[in-house]
Amino acid sequence: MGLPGGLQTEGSPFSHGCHTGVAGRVCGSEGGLKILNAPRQAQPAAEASSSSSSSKQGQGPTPQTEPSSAPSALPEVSPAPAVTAVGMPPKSILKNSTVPTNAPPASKPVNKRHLNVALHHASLIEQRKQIEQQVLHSIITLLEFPTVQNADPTRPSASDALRFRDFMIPFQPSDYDSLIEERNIAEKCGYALCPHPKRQAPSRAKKQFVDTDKGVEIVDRKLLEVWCSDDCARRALYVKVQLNETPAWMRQGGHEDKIELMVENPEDHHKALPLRLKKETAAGSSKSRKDDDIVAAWAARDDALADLAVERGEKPGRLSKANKDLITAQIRERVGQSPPVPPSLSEQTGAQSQMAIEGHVPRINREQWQDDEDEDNATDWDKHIPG
Amino acid sequence: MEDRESYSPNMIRMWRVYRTAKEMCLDRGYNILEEDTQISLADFASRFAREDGEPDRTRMPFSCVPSPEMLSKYAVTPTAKDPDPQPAIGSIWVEFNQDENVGLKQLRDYMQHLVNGNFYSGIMVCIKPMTGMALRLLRGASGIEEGPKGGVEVFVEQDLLVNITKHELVPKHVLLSKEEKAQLLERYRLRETQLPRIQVTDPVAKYLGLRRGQVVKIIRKSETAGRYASYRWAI
Ligand SMILES: [Zn+2]
Repeated sequence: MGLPGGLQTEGSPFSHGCHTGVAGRVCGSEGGLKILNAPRQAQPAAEASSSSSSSKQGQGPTPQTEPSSAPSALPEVSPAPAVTAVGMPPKSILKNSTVPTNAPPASKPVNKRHLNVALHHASLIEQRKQIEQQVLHSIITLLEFPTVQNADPTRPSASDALRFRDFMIPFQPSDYDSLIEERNIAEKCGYALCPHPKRQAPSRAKKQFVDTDKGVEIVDRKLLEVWCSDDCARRALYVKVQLNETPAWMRQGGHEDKIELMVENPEDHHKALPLRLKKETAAGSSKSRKDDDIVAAWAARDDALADLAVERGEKPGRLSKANKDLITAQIRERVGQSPPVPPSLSEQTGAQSQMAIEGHVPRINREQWQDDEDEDNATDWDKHIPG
Repeated sequence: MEDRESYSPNMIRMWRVYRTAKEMCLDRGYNILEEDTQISLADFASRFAREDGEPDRTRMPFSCVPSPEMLSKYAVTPTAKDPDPQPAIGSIWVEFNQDENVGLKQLRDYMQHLVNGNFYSGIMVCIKPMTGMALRLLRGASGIEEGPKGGVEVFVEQDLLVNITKHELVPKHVLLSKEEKAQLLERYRLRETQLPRIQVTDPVAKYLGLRRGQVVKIIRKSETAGRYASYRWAI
């Protein structure tokens, strides 16, 4: 009796291996090996005492038999006693410790640490599943946003803004991209608080010409049809840069900062909420135009720095470690040891520098130079010749 | 042979996809006329061509019902609680989506359509792969209240250009009924977890619409052993 062929144990190339690589691996490693165990160690047992009932335990399936026409596989094993007749009881070279697969697993003392590690990972996987579902349902809800009639992306309603910011807490930037993608497929502007349809490119061509400050640029049509306006793009990306790169199920601690929105009606939202005041609100004051510009410039710089800090994963408004390091770093000048000397041509190459290649004068040119001298002499000599 | 020159490449492509979809339903055990799976390109074009010669996917959807054999294959073993259970299969709706990008919106609309039409399950054939979020919804959808009972399967047209089960190196896969599976496990004194496995994402498993927990019998021809059967547990 050979190993049972009825149950394919290796990832067979022909069953499905020819068109997928993954399934074969799973079959070989998990399902296959377990079964392989049983008949192997059952075989010696059967040879030793073919009538023993224990040999029944490990009977593997036999090849080519249909489930319906199935006598017990036991008789096929019985012919083995040929070995016993010689008087040498066969000794198994296999480990005795293995138990038949059908027997209940021997109860081992549970290693506390291993158990904890296993439980920790199991709970991570569970959390991950839950958060992925949560993100999915947030996106489905946000597909229908904004919920109020005639909403204005620059002045979102307080309830929409609050829900949107709540939804964003577990989001990673890639989830946010998915949200934009799904809204675009639904023909909506990528910014969840905007009710407008996305912009339509002037033609169906894959690449489009766009007028910018720097002149005409060629852009993918897809990129062009993400937002309804550049303003929405700015507002939407302002949210994206604040999102946490770390998956929500890996984040430490329960505390999460809510994201900020770019809005122009902060008074409608709660005072306590960290909403960003747009610089336009300051424009109404009686300051001169120039002062306004300076204030705006400084505010823009602060905003840019804050955005950068968030992008780096730092808490906004806090002096970052990296900054400190930059300040404390010593800059040392290289001090010259000798007074500067004006450059001069070396003696050797001075006369024939025009022939030099990176300071080296090839021999062939050197000879020519000497020939030139001879020629000069020759002409001198010629002069003495009358005629 | 037909004069293929007179049809657009997209028409020929769609014709092959359509035929494979029909063959797939037939192979799964739905009631489909054999000649339906062999529709000629000319017939196909006359039925589904738009004026510009391109295929009109909106006219292509079809539905079919399981054959008696299929119903018995999907029979559920009666329990004390439910002495006369319904088989775990029913009518299916096959649709060819025409949108270039398919996301949550189209998938949810499709699910709604299946529920409204009282279909047990559905197959959606898309031009391009769906978005990640739509696939996420699909993964969690078997059992979700908003979808049909039997779930939704999604194929990309590319997957159906060729019927992979017709390839000579692909052995015959036969689904076992619940009862046959119980017999197999009983006969070999196995637990199902001890069987070799096949992933439900395996192309042949997808073709047959295998569900988790089902067992397929794989029959190959061997030069040395003749006909040769093995079993796999779908995971
Ligand atoms: Zn917008």
